[in-house]
Amino acid sequence: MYMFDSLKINVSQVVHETIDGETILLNLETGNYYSMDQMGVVIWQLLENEICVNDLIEALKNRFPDQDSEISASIPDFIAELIQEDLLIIHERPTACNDSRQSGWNPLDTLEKIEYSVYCPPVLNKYTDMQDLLQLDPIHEVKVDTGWPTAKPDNLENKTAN
Amino acid sequence: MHGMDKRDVNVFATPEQEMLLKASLLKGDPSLIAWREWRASVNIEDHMDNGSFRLLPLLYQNLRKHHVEDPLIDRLKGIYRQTWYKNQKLFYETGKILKYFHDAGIQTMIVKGAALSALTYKNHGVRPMSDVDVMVPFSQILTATEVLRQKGWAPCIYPESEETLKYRISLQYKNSCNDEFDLHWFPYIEFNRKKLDDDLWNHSVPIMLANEETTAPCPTDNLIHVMIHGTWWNPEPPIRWIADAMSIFNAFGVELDWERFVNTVRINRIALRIRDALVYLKNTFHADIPNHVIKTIIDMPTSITERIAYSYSLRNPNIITEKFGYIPILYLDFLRINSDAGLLQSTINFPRYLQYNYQMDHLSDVFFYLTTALVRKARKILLSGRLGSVF
Repeated sequence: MYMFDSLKINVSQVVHETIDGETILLNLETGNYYSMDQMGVVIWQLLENEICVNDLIEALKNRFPDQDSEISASIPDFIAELIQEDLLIIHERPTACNDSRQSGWNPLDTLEKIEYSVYCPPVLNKYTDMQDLLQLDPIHEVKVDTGWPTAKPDNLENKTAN
Repeated sequence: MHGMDKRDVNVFATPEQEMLLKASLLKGDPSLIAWREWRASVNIEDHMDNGSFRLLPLLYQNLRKHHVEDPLIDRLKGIYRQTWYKNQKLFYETGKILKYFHDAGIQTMIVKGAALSALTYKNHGVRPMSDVDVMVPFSQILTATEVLRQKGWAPCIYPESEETLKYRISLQYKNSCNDEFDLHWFPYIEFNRKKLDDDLWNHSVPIMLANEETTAPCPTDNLIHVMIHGTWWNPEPPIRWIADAMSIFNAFGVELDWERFVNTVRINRIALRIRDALVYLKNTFHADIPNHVIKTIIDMPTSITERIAYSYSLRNPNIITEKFGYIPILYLDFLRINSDAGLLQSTINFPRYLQYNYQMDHLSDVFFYLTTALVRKARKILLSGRLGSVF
C-alpha cells in the first residue's frame, strides 16, 4: 500500500503546467493528455513536493475539518488513478511521512492560501484520441466556453468517421 | 523599408497584424488599447491568415497577464493548450535525437523556434512550430548522418552528399513513424562558414530540452537568426519574426552585444535585410536599438549581388516563375549562397548548382537542358506573336 510511501511526479515521462487555475499534463510516452482544476490543481501542487498520501489526507482534513469522510474516500482513488496513468510514481527510496515537513515545507501553508471553503473531490480529465483532437480547428470546431481539446460534438464525430 | 516597393511584400505587418502584435507584446495600456482595436476590427470566426493565427497563444499569455476578460479567452486558452501539447511532443522526440548525438560524442545546438521557446519565451505553449532544428558542428556532420542512419532516420528530399554540404545548410530527416526534424550544419544560407563557425559555437549558451543538456545561440546571434529567417516572402505571412525579435529585446535588451551584432552583419553581408528589419522594429514597435547601430548598418557597402538577391527574396517567387520559370529563382538562391563572391564568379559556377538541384549526372546534361528550355521558350514566344497577329 502506498499510503505511507512518498510519491513523486514521473518527470522522465510527464510534463505539466498550471495555467489560469487549470493543470494540464501530458504523458509523453502514451501521448495521453490530462487536465484537472480546482482541488486537483491544489493536490497536484502538493504532490510536486513529494508528499505522502497519509500526509496529504491529514493536511486536507485539517483544512476542511467537516469533510473527513469525503477526503478519506476520494484521495486514495485519485492517487491510484494518477499512478495508474503513470503520472505519479512511488518513490523507490522508502521514506517516512513528514520528511517534507522536516525540510521546512508544510503542506498546510499551501492549503491555507486556497480560496475554496468546501472540499470538492478532484477529477482527472483524460483525453486519449489525440490524433483526432489535434486535427481540430481550435477556433471553429471546439466548444466556445472551454476551447481545445473539447470538441463540438458534431466535429469530433466527423473527424472520427473520417 | 529603404526604397522598397511594399507591393507583394508580406514580411512586415498589415495594420490589423500590427494591432495583434502590439496586443501580444506590449505592456499596460498600449497593449490593452491594441487588443480592443484588434478585437473590434477582426472577426476570428472569419478567415484569419496563418501568420496571425500563430500569434494567438502569445496573445493569450499577454491577455492573461493583463487580467483581460473576454468571451474569446477560453478558445485562446485552448489554442495555447494545443500549441503546448504539440511542442512538448516535438521536444520529446528531439530529446531522443539529442541523446543519440551526445552518446556518439557529437555537440548539439538547437536553433530557430525551439531555441526561442527555451531561451527567450521560457514557455513551451506560446510559439507554435512545425519541427525542431538541431545543429551539429560542420566537423561532426558525417558522424551525425551515420548515427541517424543507424537509428532509422533518412533524408527526405536531398541526398547526403558533398554537394549538399556545400550548397545547403540543413537537411530534413524522417523516420518510419513519420517524425521529422531538420539537421543543420550552419544556421542560415548567408552564414560565413569560414569565418564564423567556431565563433557561433564558442558563444552558444546552455539550455535544457526534454531533459537533455544542449546549447542555443546566444541572444545576439539568435536575434540575427530571427531576422534572417523571418524576413522572406512566405505564403503564410512570416510576421512572427517580429514577435520573436521583440521578445528577445524584452528578455535580453541590455545583454545584447551590439558590437558583435554589427560585426556578424558585416561578415555575413546581410546588411540590407537586417537594416530594414531594425528600422521597422524601431519605428513601429519602438525597439530599444541604439541609433549608431542602425546608422552603421545603413552605411555598410552592399554589392549588386546582395541587392538583387535581397530584393527578390521579399517578393512572391511565383511572380518570377510564372514569367521566367524556376531557373531565375535558383540563380537568386545561388547568389545568396555565394554572397561573398562576385556576380561574374557566381554566374560561372551556377551550372554546377543547377546540376545539383536537378540531380543530373553530368554538367553537359545541364547545358542540354538549358538549350532545350531556351528553344522551347523562344518557340512559345514566336508562336504567341504569330497567333497574336492573326487575331
